[in-house]
Amino acid sequence: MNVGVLFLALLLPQEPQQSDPAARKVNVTKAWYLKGPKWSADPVEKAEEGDEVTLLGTEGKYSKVRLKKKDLTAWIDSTALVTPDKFLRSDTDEKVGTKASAQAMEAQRGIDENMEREYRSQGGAAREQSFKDLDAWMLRPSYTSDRAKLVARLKEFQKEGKLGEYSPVK
Amino acid sequence: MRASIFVLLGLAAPALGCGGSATLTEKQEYFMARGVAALAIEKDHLWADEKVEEYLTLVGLGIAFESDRPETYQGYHFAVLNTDDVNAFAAPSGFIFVTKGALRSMNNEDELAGVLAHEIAHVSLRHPELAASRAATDSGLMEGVKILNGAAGFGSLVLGAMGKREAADSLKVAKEYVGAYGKSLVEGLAKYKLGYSRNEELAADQKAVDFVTRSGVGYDPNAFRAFVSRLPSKADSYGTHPGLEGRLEKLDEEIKKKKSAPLDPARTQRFLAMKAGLGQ
Repeated sequence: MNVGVLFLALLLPQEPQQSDPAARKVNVTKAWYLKGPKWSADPVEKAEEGDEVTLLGTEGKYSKVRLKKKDLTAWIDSTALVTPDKFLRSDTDEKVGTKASAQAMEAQRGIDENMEREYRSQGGAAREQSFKDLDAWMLRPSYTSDRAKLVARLKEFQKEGKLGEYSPVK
Repeated sequence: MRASIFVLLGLAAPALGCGGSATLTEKQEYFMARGVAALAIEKDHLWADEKVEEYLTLVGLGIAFESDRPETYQGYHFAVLNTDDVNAFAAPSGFIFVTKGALRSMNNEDELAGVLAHEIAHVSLRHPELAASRAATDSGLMEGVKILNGAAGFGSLVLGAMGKREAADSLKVAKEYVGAYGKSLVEGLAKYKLGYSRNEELAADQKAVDFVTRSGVGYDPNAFRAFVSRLPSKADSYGTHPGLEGRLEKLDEEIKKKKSAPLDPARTQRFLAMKAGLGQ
């Protein structure tokens, strides 16, 4: 496609893309695919941001999904998922290149790693140190990145305190 | 002891001039949250005791996993700020801070659980984002811009701001925005008259009672009520927070609707052990 055609394509309104109503995407980085519809279920594997899945059903706050990139059916917390219309809309906006979408793109581009870098650079040593402390804090406690260990520790904590499934009140 | 209880007392805030729904993506919300969290850390510094953080994390995650929003972009994080102020607040995306002063003023784990549940409720209801959009509006970024469509939320507020500026200014605007937002939660309260509205505070209280009494959690909501009842009844030192009027009555109404687990001595014991580690 030459530049002229590309330019015209960007200007022409495009038909909204039809999306599969069962299509979902993972939009967080810390979620896990689980064997059952509860947080304490055994983890199957970590979900990756952007994973495309097909919704098979729901139970409470959990969604049963099939992962598209591999043969895996599992449960995941529904709040980790987003319908693809947001992604499709932003993709379309970027292609159409309207003034409004360009503004939106510009606005949204501002709230990211680059914005943070700029913000940090203008805050002096104290701000830089606060971001370093923030990053160090986010790595503690270390077991929180290991779902199986986290669940085991949390269940132990709840048992000791008569909480959750160990609570005397049902 | 100076009490600047931003979130627990609530902030008088102007109504959002638009639809009021938050529309940031998870990732955008996360980077906003990092700016706010860094400001809080810069101001008061972390009480970086791993045992205390682990304890807070276990209490907090036990509630967050059963809440209406268990997953955020990088998950929930709980920390102690090294100040004697009695305070707790939530940045967006699940960054939750409790001050050393607040922990010292609590009597048991169930009180702590209530406070954390209140903050998780704010995150769950996306109140920090809504406060952020008010921050942007009040700091003049959105002056004269009444949004491109009536149902717009935060994303459209930013879009509106971009509509009256050259694209090359976008980064500057975004930075101003984040700056205003950080100030709204940390230091600019009096100037910008920002924060959570009274209705948002009451909604967070209601959700907190709901969260701690869910079958997967099981704390005594009366403990949260007891903690709230000990808060100063007057506005905070910034002069922007409403008092407690009506709050306890609303809490009582919510608690009556729920099955309450009793306080458990084992929970109180481990809370007191954690508290002893904070020193005097």
